[in-house]
Amino acid sequence: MKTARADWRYRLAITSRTLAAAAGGYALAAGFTAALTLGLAPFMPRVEAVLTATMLAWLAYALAAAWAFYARTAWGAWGGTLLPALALGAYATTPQWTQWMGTAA
Amino acid sequence: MNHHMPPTPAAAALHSAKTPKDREGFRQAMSWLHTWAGLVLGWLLFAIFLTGTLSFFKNEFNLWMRPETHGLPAADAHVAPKALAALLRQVPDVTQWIMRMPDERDPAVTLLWRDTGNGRFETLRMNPQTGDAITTRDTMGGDFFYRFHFELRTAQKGRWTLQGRWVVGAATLMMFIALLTGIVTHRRFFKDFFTFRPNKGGQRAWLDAHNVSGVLVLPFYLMITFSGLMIFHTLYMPSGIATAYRGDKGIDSNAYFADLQGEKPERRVRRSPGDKVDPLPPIALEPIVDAASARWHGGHIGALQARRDAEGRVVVEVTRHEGDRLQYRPPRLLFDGITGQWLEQADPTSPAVTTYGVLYGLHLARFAGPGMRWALFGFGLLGSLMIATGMVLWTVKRSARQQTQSQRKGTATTAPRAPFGERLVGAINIATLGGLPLACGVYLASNRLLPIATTHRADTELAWFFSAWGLALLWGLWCAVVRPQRGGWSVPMAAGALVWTTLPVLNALTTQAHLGVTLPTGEWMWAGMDLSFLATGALMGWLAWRLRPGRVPHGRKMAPTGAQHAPAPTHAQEHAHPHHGGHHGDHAGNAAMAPSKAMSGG
Repeated sequence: MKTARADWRYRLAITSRTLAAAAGGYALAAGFTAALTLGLAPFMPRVEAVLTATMLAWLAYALAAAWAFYARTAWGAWGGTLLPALALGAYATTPQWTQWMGTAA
Repeated sequence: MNHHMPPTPAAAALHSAKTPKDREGFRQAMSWLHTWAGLVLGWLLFAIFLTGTLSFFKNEFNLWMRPETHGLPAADAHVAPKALAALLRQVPDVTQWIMRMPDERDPAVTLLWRDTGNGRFETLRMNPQTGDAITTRDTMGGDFFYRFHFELRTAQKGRWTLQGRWVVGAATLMMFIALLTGIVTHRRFFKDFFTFRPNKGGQRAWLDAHNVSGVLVLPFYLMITFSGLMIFHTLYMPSGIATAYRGDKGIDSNAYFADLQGEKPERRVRRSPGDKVDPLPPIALEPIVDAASARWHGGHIGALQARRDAEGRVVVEVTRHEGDRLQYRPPRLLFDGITGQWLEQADPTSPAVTTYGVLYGLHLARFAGPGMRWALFGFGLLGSLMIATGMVLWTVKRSARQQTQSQRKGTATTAPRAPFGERLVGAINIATLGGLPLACGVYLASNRLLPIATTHRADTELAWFFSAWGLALLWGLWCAVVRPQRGGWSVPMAAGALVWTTLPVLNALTTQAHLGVTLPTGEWMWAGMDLSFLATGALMGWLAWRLRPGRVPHGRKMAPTGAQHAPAPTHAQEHAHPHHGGHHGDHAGNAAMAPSKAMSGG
């Protein structure tokens, strides 16, 4: 069998994807937890919302890591984890934004 | 050639990223991720898994390592007030205490207490009938395995425990990812489950062992890994709390913990550095214990504790025994410490909190009776085996490939050394898979060999543990990196066998809690430890024998560790196409299997 050459480009791509999986995946999971907690909070006690979201977050993390190594390019690995993380984080912090807008006005 | 973990598949997959047709697909990428997620933190995972497995018998290790507690009388129903009186004789200005009641796994009363300062809890052990203090040797006991398992504790009062928890969390996440990607990689569960071909030797046997141990108790691995992440979710994933518990004064984590444990926030103790806490007033325990028993219809009480809550009120909390149900924590009843009046019950019942409690309870296994405990112990060993076989498989595949290549080039007589990375992995395999069981045995031996009066005795025991492990690492580096040679595995195994089989002997020479006493009187908890040590020693001895350097005469690769590359190239093909059967094949196959069983050392 032929061994693929591990040149510097390959190593760089792997390093980049690994970072995307670890850091981007964490950002995605943390954003997911926060956003889902916020979404669930009106329907259940807040401790329930936190735990439900946190338990599901680990699956989100694992899926993000899987994506980071399945994505077509290393850039795709970053985009696929960080963009949803940003969106979720923005949603999760809406109460603070509105509050801030309220006090600023 | 092999459906599982093809060699660096992602090399091609990632490199030819621009032409999607050439990509090797989702399963291939997951297979690559599985290999590397497993390899990078695999040794740490092995250590976490093995010490966690030993922790299922934490109480029993605690007893064995404190032989002074041997032969305590059966518990007296009214020991709590006596123990409290004895504590107050020693520590009049106690501000907080937790009393663990004796049970079938731990005959002593254990008291943790703090005085007016802000220091850590101190521990006192007491006779379950008289309440008198028992002086025991200074040791961490089984708590060391337990602590190391989740925070990599290196000293009795270690400083880097929070950092240790983070590292363990990262490893646990890797394990979780390796499990999930392993499932994807592995479509053929049932076929693989019934496929074990040790006779084929080499790579095939390792792969089969990895698959069988992986598939066999997969639900257990998923549960233990997932619950491990959840137990420390307030540390690892606090963003939900930050969202839902945000107040005017920042994040109120105290309210979260109270909700999580079904308490009122004001009942929780809050001590900041520098706080001066008033000593507890006299507390009448007897009526409180009676009231709790009545409320639980005679249910077994596990622990009592007294403290001031956030409002300064003296509260006595009665905790039901942990063996009474799966969900952690057990229900607690709160009483006013002055009037003895019942205040409330703390026991959350909402769905997510209950789910979390069940996960927590499953991980700790304090609900388990002896049979269940041994079953979980076996699952833990299988998990260690799965990790170990995965680690060894990595080097086996690489060295097999390298041999094929060197043979093709016709350089059979002067085979090149394996690349440094592979030799390093081989060395750390020896150091971890062989060295850790050895170090655990040395830790137990130090408990008997160190003089009782040694200063910092508990830490000295740990120093023995880490020294033994360090020596195993030096040995592994010597055998696999510096001077590739055979026999790298057999030396730590043989040393481990010697240490583990000597333990009952040392025990007999230095204490009164040895087999000569415990067997005739049928004290199985004590005797069981010594007998398990003998079994572990025998197992390691058998492994050392199977892996001894002279065992494989014809240059056939024995235990593929990355250590024995030099003179085996002419037989490389056998690994790929093991056509010969009979005694020779059987022989090599078993030898190749052997080191994986090292982690049964427990």
